[in-house]
Amino acid sequence: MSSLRSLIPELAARSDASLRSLFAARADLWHPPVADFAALAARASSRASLSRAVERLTLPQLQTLQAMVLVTDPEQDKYRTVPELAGVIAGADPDMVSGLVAALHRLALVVAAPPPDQEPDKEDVKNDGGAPRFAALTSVREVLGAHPAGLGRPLRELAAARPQSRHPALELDPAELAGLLAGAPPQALGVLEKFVDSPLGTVSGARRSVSAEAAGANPVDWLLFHGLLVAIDDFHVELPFEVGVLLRRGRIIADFAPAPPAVPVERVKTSVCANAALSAIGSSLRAMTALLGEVSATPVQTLRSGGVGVREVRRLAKTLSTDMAQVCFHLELAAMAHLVTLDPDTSRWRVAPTGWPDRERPEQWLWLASAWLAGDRLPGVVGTGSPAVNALAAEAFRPDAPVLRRLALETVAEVHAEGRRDDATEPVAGPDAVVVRAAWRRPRLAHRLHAVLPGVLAEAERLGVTGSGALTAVGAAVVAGRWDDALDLLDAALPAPVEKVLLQADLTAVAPGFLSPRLAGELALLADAEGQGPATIYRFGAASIRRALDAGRSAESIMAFLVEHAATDIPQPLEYLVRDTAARHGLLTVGSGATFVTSEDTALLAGLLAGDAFAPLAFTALAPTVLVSPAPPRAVAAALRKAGLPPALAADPSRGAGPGAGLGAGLWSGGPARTATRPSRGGEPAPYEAPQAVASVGTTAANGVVLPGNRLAEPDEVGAQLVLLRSKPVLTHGAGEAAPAIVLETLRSAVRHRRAVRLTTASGSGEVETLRLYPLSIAEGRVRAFDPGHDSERIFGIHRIMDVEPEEDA
Amino acid sequence: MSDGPLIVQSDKTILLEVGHEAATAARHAIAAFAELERAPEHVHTYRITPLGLWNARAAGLDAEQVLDTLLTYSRFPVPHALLVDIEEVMSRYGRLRLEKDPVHGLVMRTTDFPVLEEVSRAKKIGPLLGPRIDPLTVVVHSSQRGTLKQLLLRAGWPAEDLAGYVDGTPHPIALTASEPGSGTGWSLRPYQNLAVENFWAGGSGVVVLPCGAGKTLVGAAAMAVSGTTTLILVTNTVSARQWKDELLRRTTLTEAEIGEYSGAVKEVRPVTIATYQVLAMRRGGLYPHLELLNGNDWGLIIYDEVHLLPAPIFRMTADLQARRRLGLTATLVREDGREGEVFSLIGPKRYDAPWKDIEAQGYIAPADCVEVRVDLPQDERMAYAMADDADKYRLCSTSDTKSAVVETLVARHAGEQLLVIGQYIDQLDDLAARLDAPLITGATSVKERQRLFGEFRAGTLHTLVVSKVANFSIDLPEASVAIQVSGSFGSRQEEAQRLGRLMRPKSDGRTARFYTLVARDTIDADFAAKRQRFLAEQGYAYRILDAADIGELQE
Repeated sequence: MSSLRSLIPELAARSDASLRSLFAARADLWHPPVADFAALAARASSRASLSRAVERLTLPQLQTLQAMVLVTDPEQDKYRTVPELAGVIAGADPDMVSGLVAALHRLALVVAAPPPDQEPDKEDVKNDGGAPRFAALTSVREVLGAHPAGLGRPLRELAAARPQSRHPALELDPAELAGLLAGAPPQALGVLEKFVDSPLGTVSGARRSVSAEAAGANPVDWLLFHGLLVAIDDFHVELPFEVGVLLRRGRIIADFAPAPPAVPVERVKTSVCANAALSAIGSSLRAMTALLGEVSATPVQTLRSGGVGVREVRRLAKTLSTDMAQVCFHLELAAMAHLVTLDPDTSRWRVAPTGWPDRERPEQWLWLASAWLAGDRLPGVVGTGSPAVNALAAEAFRPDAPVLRRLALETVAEVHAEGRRDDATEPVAGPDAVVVRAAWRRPRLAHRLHAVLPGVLAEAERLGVTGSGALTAVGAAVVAGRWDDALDLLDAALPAPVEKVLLQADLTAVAPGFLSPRLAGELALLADAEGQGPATIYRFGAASIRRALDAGRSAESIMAFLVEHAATDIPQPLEYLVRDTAARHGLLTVGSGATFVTSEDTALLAGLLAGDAFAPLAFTALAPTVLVSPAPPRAVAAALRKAGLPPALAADPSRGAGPGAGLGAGLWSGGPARTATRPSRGGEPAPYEAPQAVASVGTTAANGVVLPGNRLAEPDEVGAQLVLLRSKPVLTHGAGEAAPAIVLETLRSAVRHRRAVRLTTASGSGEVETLRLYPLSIAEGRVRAFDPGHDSERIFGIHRIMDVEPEEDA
Repeated sequence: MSDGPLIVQSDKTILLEVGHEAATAARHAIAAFAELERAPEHVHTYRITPLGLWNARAAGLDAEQVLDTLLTYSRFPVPHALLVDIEEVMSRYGRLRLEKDPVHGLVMRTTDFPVLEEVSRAKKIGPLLGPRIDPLTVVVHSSQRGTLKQLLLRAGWPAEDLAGYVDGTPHPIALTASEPGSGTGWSLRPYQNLAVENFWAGGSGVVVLPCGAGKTLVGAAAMAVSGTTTLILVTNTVSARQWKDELLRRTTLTEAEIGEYSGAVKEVRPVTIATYQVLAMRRGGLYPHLELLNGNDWGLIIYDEVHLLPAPIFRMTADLQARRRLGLTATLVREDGREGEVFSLIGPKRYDAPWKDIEAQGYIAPADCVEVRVDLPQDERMAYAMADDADKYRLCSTSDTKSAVVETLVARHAGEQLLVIGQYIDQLDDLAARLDAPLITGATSVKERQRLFGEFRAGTLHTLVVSKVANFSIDLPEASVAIQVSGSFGSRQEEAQRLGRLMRPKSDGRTARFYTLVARDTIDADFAAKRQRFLAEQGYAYRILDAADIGELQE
């Protein structure tokens, strides 16, 4: 009977609780939902599902399953009882094996033998002949690989595979074979000892014909001659199953490991561990908040090949005054937590609207920790390899990351739980210990863990899941999925945000701890933050106060804010600074206007200002004799002409002196103008309806920076974009997204004019060199250039070029 | 987490909240390994530096104790990377030791073969080393002891100097119990005693005490403990005379035992007071008087105002590592940033007390700093705007408006002992004429200076106008008001020294007043801001007033 056919009724006969536990252990059996038990059984015997289930077995479970695969076969009705199985496993007693088989049976990896002539039924199985008999599912064999338990194929199979060769051992019965082996020369036994882990060996000329005489001289020849090793091709030999079992003294599993191996554990003081973890929690939250703040100000640009380039990471590291590894990790973490998302239109990472800053810190941390646990990326891969993997690049995507991470952390938790003592120290599960233990817990997964483990442990340390290598109480709660416990522990460990700062006469404000986000934001506007760590120092200066005044604060509101949040008196120099800066703020005001109208006739201008006909022009009075409008001069002139007030056109002062040049200059330097029309703060800006009206004259207005109270506001995002563009310097050296384009342009021009350039480039390993070169051609993202220094041609990837400057003519 | 007074930052600074009840204990605990960087009124900032950590190791503190202190007093978790770093840095100290070997003389020994190998292959260090005796020991020429120590420090492997000191020629010196002239009894203040003890236990080093806190007495006490011939290096002749007077008053030394070695007199006696100027004098490419340092068997060398130590003496000091060295200073801030060299050549800081602490104990006068902002008149503003950069500072700091304000202030403080301090002689001449007060500049003879100081001290003269010659080491006990009209740019150390003029305790416990006149909207104000930040960081609150508001100033 096929194993599938015996599995269907067995599954159907299970209790609900038993099915529930099966589903819990093998979630892929009911995701997506299955139609019936036949489908369930089919799914349970599918290779993919079995392989997943086998990955979750411990070493003794796997060893038992291996033994069962070799000695049972449901298709040929070869079932074994537990004592029989215990007999082929060295050092196992039936009770132990019974438990292991039961576990495998629960996981539906093993089926019980059906009673000979009636429908299989759980009750009957138990009562059948006193001892139930079991067999491994046939398809498990495929999943376990070619050589389960490190044993070769049986002699019969080997002979069937190569019928033309001679197979002397095939004729021997087991006793004769044992006798032959017992009489083998010692050197030959020495050779056989090398086949402990794998039945395959490499022998040159494996299929040579060996004479009896030669066999006496050479141990390998002796083994080949007697058929104790069977050649499978010209270079390889296989140790037959029967011989392998004889070498293991009749057992299939010789190295049965029922108990987890003891692992070396170092110890660290509990206080040190708690300190390290809490400090890591605090600093990772600070770093994340700072990173998100920076990303929301400047979305992170990606490379065409995917991921965030080194240049961008370096920029972030510099702005956040941290190192690049930290930035990479937090970018990855932010992406895993969906705090940043890739904008498909601009290929930039933007901050997702998650309300992160307003969350309580314990919640924030749980958010990060749970996202990290479930994340399908390996941040540890970033920066490794050649070429180095970029942050947020596709290479760091690993679907099995959550499984491996969980294995690592559960192993850490297990080692930690075993090593606990009451002497104020904590056990540290180092990478070696985790590897050894994980190899017992999940032998089929452990080899994949090896490469990623250092990264996972480092990340756990960065997040504060472990402290100084030892698992913390919070970390243990997180690993066990006890989120509420973790939240309670964090609540106790992370103090509430402080609402008061200490103001000092050296014009600093010290925030003794974590500031509430609102307060921190306001202080960051009023002063420049300094220092890194749990406390922040804000330094006030004339420039920072001016910045706040520009943002619409007044001396009174600043002072009121300081009084409210100062734990101490306000030092006189600080108050003087605020008042003095405020008093002199606005000595020069810069705004924009496309057109000015001047007249000595103030009444006429007042009429223009009040006239409904001119509302679309949005006049603003700068002085009794000067009006400005955002509409272009031609539109204003046309409108005035239409109203019967033909104006004289002043020449543009920037295009040389003309009749109106003096007037243009006077517009901005005039003393009284500023005081008369300085816009009142808080005034409601009137909506701007000009575009349609002005469009009728054939032009549109482009506005510059909008002053509060100025009636030039345009509720349009494109407009806001333009405003932003205008407010930035046209060309910033060596930075920003324009840099690559400038590099290309400079190179192209150098190619065309055969000029030399000074080119700074970074190699794949990050070394920076500056060269004097003659670029020859540019194609496919590379530049070919002649290096006169070495009299040779070189090729550079354009993405590696950091800066190019045209060489001055000699 | 405990509710401690410290916040340990990941940028290696420690913030100490002064108002916390455990603040004093925490300060004493961290002072051993961290340098006080800023001490404004509420939160002091300390910095953890390798040098500080090594000094702590030299003083017998190990990494375990340092970490324990941080963890005990910290309010928040301490960044783990910092703890690891501290452990690593401290473990570097003492892997190399300078020792006296009975056969080979001065040798460098190590417990860590690769370290010795590393340093002996370093380009600059290699030539200073002699032959290898065994794999772990190498001979060092004794004249290279200082240079080697300095280079090793720079290489990050500070050597523990166990080679000891020469005894010097014995010469018994004792402190008097009462002043010979007046007969009033006196004794060392507790902090002075502590400073001497710390210094002597450490062998060599620097004592940092605020102006007016009695550094001379620390020197005298150190001489008494040493009981050997002593060389005292001071900044100028006036200061030399004052040292002499003070020593005559406070110790059993007689006139005949104290020699002066200056431009005018060249006496070498058991206790010799020499000026930096004469030692650093260069003639024909040689320093003819540097011999004095090493020519005699001094048991102790005292460096007064060690932050002013000139470069040639630095170099010479490197050769004097076998003699005990005491550095005295009020501020270890050097505008040239060579504090590290002071530490490695003279020795680590052995004692340091914040000004405010000593002021609180009543040993120095409290000071009240006022910055007066003066508006330049229109014509001066234009002149300033159009001046060359090089002239700008002179123009704005010597404004006539300032003179008027000085007159107002002098009139206000009529009858008090008052100093007007400035940088530019023209301006000072003008002020002296306006105030009808004598002027002391570099050109004034020593005799004349002493006469004027004497009168000022006696109270017959109330107002003195002084140039920067008065910055250092003159004793003006009863000066209670100082008006600074111009300074040498933004020198913080000068500001501290000038303020120090006022801090000797007043007989009636009055508060000293320190005015700085600053021209608004000019670089004068920028420099003033820099100096004031320094003052505020030293714990001196100051006020800013507009010149027009002087009348509202409360007494």
